[in-house]
This record gives sequence, structure tokens and C-alpha cells, in this order.
Amino acid sequence: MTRAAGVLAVQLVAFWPVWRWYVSRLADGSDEPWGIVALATACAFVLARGRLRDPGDGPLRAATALTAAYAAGYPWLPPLVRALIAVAAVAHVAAPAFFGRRVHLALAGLLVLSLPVIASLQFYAGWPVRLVTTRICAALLDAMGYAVEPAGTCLVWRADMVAVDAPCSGIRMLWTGLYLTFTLACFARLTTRGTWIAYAATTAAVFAGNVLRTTALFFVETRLWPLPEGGHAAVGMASFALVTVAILAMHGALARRFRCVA
Amino acid sequence: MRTLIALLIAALASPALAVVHLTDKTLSPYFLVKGAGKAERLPLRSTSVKARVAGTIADVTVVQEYKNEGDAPIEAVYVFPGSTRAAVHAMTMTIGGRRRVAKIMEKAKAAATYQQAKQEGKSAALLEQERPNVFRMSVANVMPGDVVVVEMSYTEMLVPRDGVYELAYPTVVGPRYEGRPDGAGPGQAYTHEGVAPQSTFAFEAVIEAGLELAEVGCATHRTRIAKTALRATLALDEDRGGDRDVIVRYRLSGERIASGLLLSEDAGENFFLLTVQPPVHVEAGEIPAREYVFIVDVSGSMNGYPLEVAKTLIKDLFGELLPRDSFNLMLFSGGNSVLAPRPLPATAANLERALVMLARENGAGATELLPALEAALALPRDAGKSRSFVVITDGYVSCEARAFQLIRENLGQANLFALGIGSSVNRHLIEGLARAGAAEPFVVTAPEDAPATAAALRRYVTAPVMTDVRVACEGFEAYDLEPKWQPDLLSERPIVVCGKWRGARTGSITVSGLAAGRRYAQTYRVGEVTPGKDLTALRYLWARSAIARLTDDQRAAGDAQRAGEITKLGLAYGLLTEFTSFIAVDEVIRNAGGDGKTVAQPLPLPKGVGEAATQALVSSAPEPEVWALLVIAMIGIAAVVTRRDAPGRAA
Repeated sequence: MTRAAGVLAVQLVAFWPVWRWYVSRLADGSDEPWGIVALATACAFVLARGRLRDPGDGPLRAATALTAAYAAGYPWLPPLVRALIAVAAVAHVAAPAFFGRRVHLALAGLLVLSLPVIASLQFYAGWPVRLVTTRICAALLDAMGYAVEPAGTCLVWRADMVAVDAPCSGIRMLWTGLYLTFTLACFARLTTRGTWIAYAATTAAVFAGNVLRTTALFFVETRLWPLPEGGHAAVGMASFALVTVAILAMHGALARRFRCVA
Repeated sequence: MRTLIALLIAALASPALAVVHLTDKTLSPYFLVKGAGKAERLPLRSTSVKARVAGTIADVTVVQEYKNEGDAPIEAVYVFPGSTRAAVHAMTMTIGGRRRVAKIMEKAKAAATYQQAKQEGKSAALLEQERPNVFRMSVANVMPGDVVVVEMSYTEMLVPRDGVYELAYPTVVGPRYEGRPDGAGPGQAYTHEGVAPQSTFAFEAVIEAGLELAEVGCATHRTRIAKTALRATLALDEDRGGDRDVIVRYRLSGERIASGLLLSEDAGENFFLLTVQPPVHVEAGEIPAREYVFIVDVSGSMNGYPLEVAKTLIKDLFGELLPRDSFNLMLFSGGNSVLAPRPLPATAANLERALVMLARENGAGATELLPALEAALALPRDAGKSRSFVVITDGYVSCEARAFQLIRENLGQANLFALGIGSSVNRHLIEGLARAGAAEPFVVTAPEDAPATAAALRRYVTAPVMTDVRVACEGFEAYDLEPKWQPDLLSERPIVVCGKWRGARTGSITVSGLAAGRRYAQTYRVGEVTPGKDLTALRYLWARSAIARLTDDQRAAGDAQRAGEITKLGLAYGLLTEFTSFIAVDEVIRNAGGDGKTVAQPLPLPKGVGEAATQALVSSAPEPEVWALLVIAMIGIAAVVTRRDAPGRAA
């Protein structure tokens, strides 16, 4: 058995509390289960590489440090943070073992997305994102001639109120956009720098797309643009389709410039 | 190898720690709601209402009984509705056999007095107006075993519509979204759909209208009714009917215009009430020639169904016009345009011209109502005709106070009727315009409501009975009339004038106008009218009218001076207003420290209203589901993969 396989096997055993927690989170309905898709995608890329290589001492030291941090911090760290440390440790071994790279940011990204993060992102990041989205939408609508006032995370126009509430934060679009980006980055073998650029650009594109979606839905919800049933969802899908086109265009440009040789 | 050993040791430590923490829970964001312990949850035990109608004035007494059957002191809070016309003028609190008469105070002072009493451990009751038709009763330091009885009295003027008088007692505040987050108060608890009201409800009414009663009925509850020619008594035959308003309707007999004068003499101030009732049936020949100016909002916010409903309504109203009538059409948005410089005869050709002018509009621009009203009033009028303005708008204007004032000042020149159309009509403007015009507001929020509302508006506006109405006093010193100017008498709307008088009870009041082509006049010799012994209600009705007028203006302008005038009237006449509250305090300290849980009485859902109504009626813009987004992402991935693998492309 190669050293790489041995190390990975030990990690799978060592981090069993994380996998147990992961399975219970999938089953308890507290979060969306789509992390499985990201995990399956990561596994598919790993298996497609086939050959295992020795990871080298450097990545092993990093993995050891992360594992030590996991063990030392276990009594105090929230389960999600422990899981993040665990997947980072696994990624540090898998990247050199399967891809011959010290760091494979896209693979690590997919493993992070495989965790149940959507609910936690909604809880911690949802409100600030909605607040900023509301302000920008109000400014856009005002520029279009509608005297819309932002009131917290609501758009107030006359006696109508359109709430940019929790399901409107854009977190789902962000998760899916990042999934797309990391998958394309793995496929194109983007460098670490290229992957960082893709990640930042995707986040910006998704945010812009959510602002556009919310602005368009203001007209729908106030019945200025009466749409049939299903029109609301169609506007959301159309907005994400535009974001996807932007991501694909960006991917094409980055793939030409930031492709790994390995 | 050393690294590997270190990794193994580190890794092995983890499960050991995991064993120690076997109770590790999945942590996701959640909310914990704590139980209320053994405190009383439903303090309101019963509501008993007794109404006495004398003529067109209703005196109503409401008795609420609160009981604490828990084992801890509580503060009971109960939100309940009232009529928008109610003049609440008295309140008492009875606890432990001690009866305390409430005082009227400025709202902030009353609230501070209540808080102080509460903290000192004294029982206190505070009655506040939350909205014109919603009141809040707070009763502090209700000790275990206490029974607190709060009695509230109000007076209301009953105005008939289509010949029907309606005594309505609202029983429950329905779930309602406050509209603005900065205006939303604490959430109101409701019992579940299908659960009967938790407290008993009793209602009795005695009607002595002064004229022969044609019919009396209550369609909302099972009732026992006993009726003679001039008197009727009614009582509910069920005791859990507090989940829907009580509506008692009655008709009077009479085929001619009837008017009546009531006088009261009080220490310091005297009041009178003059009513002119239309006949029950109005023949076409009795309707004077009419002149209408249709003032239609064609601004951007009317785009779509509001303007389409307006067009249909105008066409419908045109169908009611006779060749002897005249009309004009004014369209307004940022500016205004008029069909003709003077009224046109209501011929088919002229009506068609108007419809063509209206059909061209799609809704664009700002909403400048005040200039449109001023321009309409400046238009020449046809002498001898009953002139009416019909304003159709969704109401988003910023000149409401001035618009109300303009309408009141010109009531003698033209009647004004307001129809609000749109999903988010500015009800304050529509209701304010209607009150200023001494009329009823009409609102259409959904397209399916348009035909019924349009029919009601048509009946209301198309049957004036007497025009050019004048109220003249000779030898009788009347002042502070509400309203100051009188509109036309309509078949659906009587004329009601409240006022004060001073000096000797001599002279006369004459009501005159043009009716059925002839001059009508009814003169009252004041000396022959005996002041009513039990007519203190007139002072409350007069004050209520003045407060309603000032409230419309104050809300529109946010005017501190008008707020001060309302407060002054509320304090002077002892009335509950937006700025004055009733407070009663029992000086016995019964709960040292004032500790106690505040319990908001859960309300029954109004009958026919589902549980979905308790959710905030706010539009929101949720994202698509993740699976749907993944489909688009997968399409994108497939596009990249197939493009890369396309024949002729390098790998």
C-alpha cells in the first residue's frame, strides 16, 4: 500500500466524527442536501486521475498540523469548523497525491461546498448581504424614477412592500455559482491564482445577478409587470442564467491564461 | 515516517475526544420559545355591550371583565376594534368592590401615569387609541383571583345609506399587516382557525328612532327581536359570537324629505343637531338636473387595471346621464387637461368624445391632484343643477391637507365623491376626501371587486334630491358649525349639521334648497323645540366631528398645531383621541415591586378568515431552488465539456 493511500485511509478513520456529523446533517433536514453533488463531483475528478503519487513531506506536514489543530480544538470548535479543518487536511494530501500539485484550490473548494454550509451562510451572511442588496436595488429603482425607500431589508414603495427576506439573499445562487466555478476550474486545471480570480469574479457576478433579480422582481411583486404564475421563478432562473453565461465567459478567458501544466 | 507517526497519534486522539463528546449535537440555527409557566393566558372573560338608539344617536356601553385564574400577577392587554365614528367619552374600572372613574389625559402623560402605577404595584387601567378604529386596553397588576371590570361608554351618530340605518359593533381586529416596518407593533396572537372565541360576548340594543320603524334585523348573529311601531329591542341568542361584527340594520317609514332639530343646554355650552333625511323612495322626476365633472388620475401608477377600471366606470356612469344633465371630463397627472371649457350637454356625441379622450390614456407621469381640483372648481358651472365632482385616483399625492380644506370650503359649490382604485390605494386620501365631501369612500383593490363597487358608487352619486342647500339662522345665534358648508342632499346621504348656540333660545333655523324643481324650505322655531334632558351626546358628537376634521388634516400635514387642537378638544370634552387617553388608578398597592407578566389576550380569528391571514402580507422575492440552479449549472458544464471535446479541437 503506498504512503499516499495509507495516509488517506488514516485520515478517513481519524475524521469519522466529521463524517458522522455530516450524515446526520444530511438526514435531519436542517440544511439543503446538495453538498452530495459537490462531493460526488470532487470524487469523480479524483478517480479520473487514477494514479496515486507520494504526497511528499511538505503536504504531509501541513496535513499533520491541521489534524493536530482538529484534535486539540475538538472540545471547543463547532462541528462545521472541525469539518472545514478536516477537509482542508484531506485536500492537502489529495492534491499532491492525485494531481501532483501542492495546492488544488478548486478541489478544496468543492470539498468545502460538499459540507452543509448553506444554512450557516444564510444565518451569518444572509442579513448583511440582503441589507446591501436592498440599498443598491433602492438606488437603482430611484434612478429609474420610482421613489423606493429602503427600510431595513425591505423595499417600500407607496403602500407596497417587497421584502428581501431570508430566501432572497442570493446564498443559493452563490453556492451554485461557486460549484460551477470550482468544477470548471478542476476541469480546466486552473492554477491557484486562476482559481482565486475565478472565485472572486464569480462572487461578484452572483451578487450583481441577485441585485438584478431583486430589482426585476420588485416590478413583478408590485404588479407593475404582471406576470402569470411561475413568472417569479422564471425571473430568478433567467437571472442565474445570465450569471452562468458570465461565469462561462470568464472561465474561457482564465483557462487560456492560467492552465496548469501538470 | 516520523511525520506519519505524528499524524497517526494526532488522528487517534480525535476519536478519544469524540467518545467524550458523544452528546455532540448537530448545531444549526434555531429558535427556542419558552413556556409561559403558570400565568393566566386568557384574562378576558366576557364582553357585554348595551346600545341605546334615540333618533339617530347611539349611546353604547361596553363592559369588559378580566379575571386572573393563574398563580402570578399579570398585566392584561387587549386590543379591540371600535367604530370610526365612536366618541369614547367615559371609562370606569371596578376592582375588589372599588370603582375608579378614569380621567382623560394627554397620551404620553397617561402612559407615564400608568407605568408608574404599575411599577408601584397599583391596579390601573389605560385605554388608548391605536388607530381610529382600534383601541388598546391595558390593565396592570391583576392579582391571582382578581376580577377587574372595565366599563367604557361611547356615542355615535348613525347615518343611513340607501335608507338603511346600521348600528355596527365591531368585535375583533383582524390580522393586518402594518405596512411599514417602522410602524409595526408587537405581533398579535390569534387562536387557531375553527377555535371558538375564548370569552363570552353579549349584545343588547334598544332602538327608539322617533319615527315609525319599518323593519329591524341582524344578519350576523342569532337574535331575539321584539318590535312595536316606534320601539324595538334586540338581544343576541348566542354567547360566543365575538368572532364577527354585530350589525343591526333598520329602516324608517316615510316618503318625503324629513328634517329634525335637537337642542341641548349644558352649563357653559349649548349644542344643536340638525338632520335632513331624504325620502325612502326617490322618483326620477324628483331628481334635479345634474352636472358632473369627472376628474380622473391618468398618472403612471394608474397604468394597467386601475385605469381600465376607471374607464369602465366612467362609461357606466355616462349611461346614467340624461340629456338635461351636463358633464365635463378632466384628466390629470403632472398637468391637467379638460374636455371642454364649460359643461357639455350629456348627448351621445359629447359622451363619445369624452370616452375617446379617455381611451387614449395609458397612465404616465406624476400625480398633481390639488391643481386639478382648483382647475375644476374654476370651471364655469350650469346654474340650478346639482354639481358633483367624481375623483378617481389611486391617491398617491402629497397635498392631502390642502385638498381636504379646498373641498370643505367649496361643499356648497360642488359635491365630491372619491373612488380609489389600485392594489395599494392610499386609503387615507380617499377616506379623507370622502369625509371632507361629507360622503362615503369607495375603494377597489382587486379587479373582481370593481363591478359591485362601481354599482354602489353609481347609486350614491346619481340621485341628488335637493341642491343649493342653505342653513340660515335668524334670531338664533349658532356658531362653530360642523361641517361649515353643506353639500347637496342625496337619496343615499342625509345632511347632518352639528353646532353650538348661545344666548336666548329664540329665533329660527331654516333649511332650504331646490328639490324636484321647486324651492323647499323647512323652518324650525327654536323656542318651540324643547332641549332634550338626556342629550349630552350632542356635545360629544360635535367634538367628534371637529376632531375627525382636524385628524384628517393633521395626518396629511404632520401638523403640530392641529395635533395641539385635537389634544385640547379631547381634554376639554373628555374624548379618547389619537393624542388623549383614559387612565384609571386604584391607589391600593397590591403587588409591591410591580412584577408581573404581560399577557396579550389572544384574539379569535375573524369568522371566515383563514390562518394564512396571520402571515405578513408582504411580497418577497425568494431565489429559485438549488436543484433548479444546478440544472442551469450542469448545462453550462456540459457546454464547456462538449465544446472542448468537439472534433477538430485540441484537448
